[in-house]
Amino acid sequence: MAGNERFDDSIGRWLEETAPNRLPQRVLAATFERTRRTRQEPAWRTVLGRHQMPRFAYPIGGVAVLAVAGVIAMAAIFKVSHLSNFGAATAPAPTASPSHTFTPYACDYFPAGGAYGVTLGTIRATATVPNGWHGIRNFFKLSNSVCVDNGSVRLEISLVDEVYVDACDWQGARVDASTAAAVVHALTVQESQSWNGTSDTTLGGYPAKRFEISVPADFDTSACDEGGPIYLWPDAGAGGFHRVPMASGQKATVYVVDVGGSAIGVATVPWTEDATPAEIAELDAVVASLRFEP
Amino acid sequence: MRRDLVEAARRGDHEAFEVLATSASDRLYAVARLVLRASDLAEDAVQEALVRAWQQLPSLRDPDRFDAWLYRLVVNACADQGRQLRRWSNQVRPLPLEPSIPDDTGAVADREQLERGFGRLKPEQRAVVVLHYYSGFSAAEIARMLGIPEGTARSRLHYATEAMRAALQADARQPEVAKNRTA
Repeated sequence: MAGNERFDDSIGRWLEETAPNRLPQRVLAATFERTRRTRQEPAWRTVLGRHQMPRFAYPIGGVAVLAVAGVIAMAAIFKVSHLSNFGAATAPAPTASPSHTFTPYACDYFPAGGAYGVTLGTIRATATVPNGWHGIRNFFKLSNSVCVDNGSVRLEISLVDEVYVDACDWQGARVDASTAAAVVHALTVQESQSWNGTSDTTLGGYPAKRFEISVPADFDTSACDEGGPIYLWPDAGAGGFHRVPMASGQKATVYVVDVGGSAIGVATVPWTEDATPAEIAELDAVVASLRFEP
Repeated sequence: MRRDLVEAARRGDHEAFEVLATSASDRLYAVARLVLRASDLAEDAVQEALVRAWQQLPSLRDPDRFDAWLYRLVVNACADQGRQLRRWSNQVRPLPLEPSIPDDTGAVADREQLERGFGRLKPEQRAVVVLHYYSGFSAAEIARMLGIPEGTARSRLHYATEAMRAALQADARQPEVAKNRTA
């Protein structure tokens, strides 16, 4: 019996040792490319598809369909000839078949402007979003562009409990950072980005550290994992998504907020070439409107 | 919140689906990679499973079964991968099952031996082994997940474990046979 248990343990340990850590990001990206181009099947079709019919059922089914069509045609001929004896029939008014509304993708999800909230772990984060802005639910990523990734300014809010050791090697090692202080420390020593200063502030009513992170203009992010960009941290509140992508020459203002012992990372990223002072002011207003509820 | 995401994804919400898929992707990949023993096949299997999940989500009646349902799709995709490439059928060399002898093979089993034993299993046996020993599901949970009777899940697990043990014992005997022949 003990031998059986040891053998079971051996199998478990061996599987643990040989299991891969992560699905390559390119596979997920390719998958989502496909799903975005693919319509969902109606439930009835999937259910029918589960029941495989025997081969002979198909010709029988075809014959049945033809027979039914023949009966309908005969009935229609009879009805027309019957009606013609009693005067013209009134054709039924055409009715519009219910149009199927396909859910729009990404940026169209949220109406522009107004209060916007997302739950990160157990923390509810809300912001007031200006007209014309859009967001991605569950990521708490806001942008002033219709296409979220191409906005001239953007804001990302994440629950952080790990930080990449090297922002360029974001598929590699991570450092545990379960407190705001640990997140700040991990970011200050993170490789492949330049970190500048820190100051104490408050955000959403909670103590925070504010600093800047930039990617040198001559830093080649194409050499990073998956061909870049760099990422600062995985979002523990959104399935570990890589968060705060930054390209060469970009600069982010980062806040690490201590919300009841949990670290919330807030990053505002103006695209250096496109952002106007008015847009940056709008971005600052969104940040100032942030509220957190643990 | 997860239930809300599944509901949203069922209604066609791409973002919700991508959050769900991403959060599950590493677990699914690990299962696929362990079953198929090849990264490229496992990547394809996971991709196929997730695309099917998106397509067939409206038919998922109970959102709380989403994770189990994903595992099922991945196991099926692994089987499809194996069938397409006809790798499994070529690789599988069934060993005669011997009665289990109380021994200490667990203590001497090393990675190479386990790899060889596992490689000789049928795909459905591999899947059950991975779901049980790696993912930690019970035979009853695996049965519900894969849509098979619980007895079938138990017997697959039993025969898979016995087959691996038999393979290890056969490996262990080979040097002795060789030694006797040369003596």
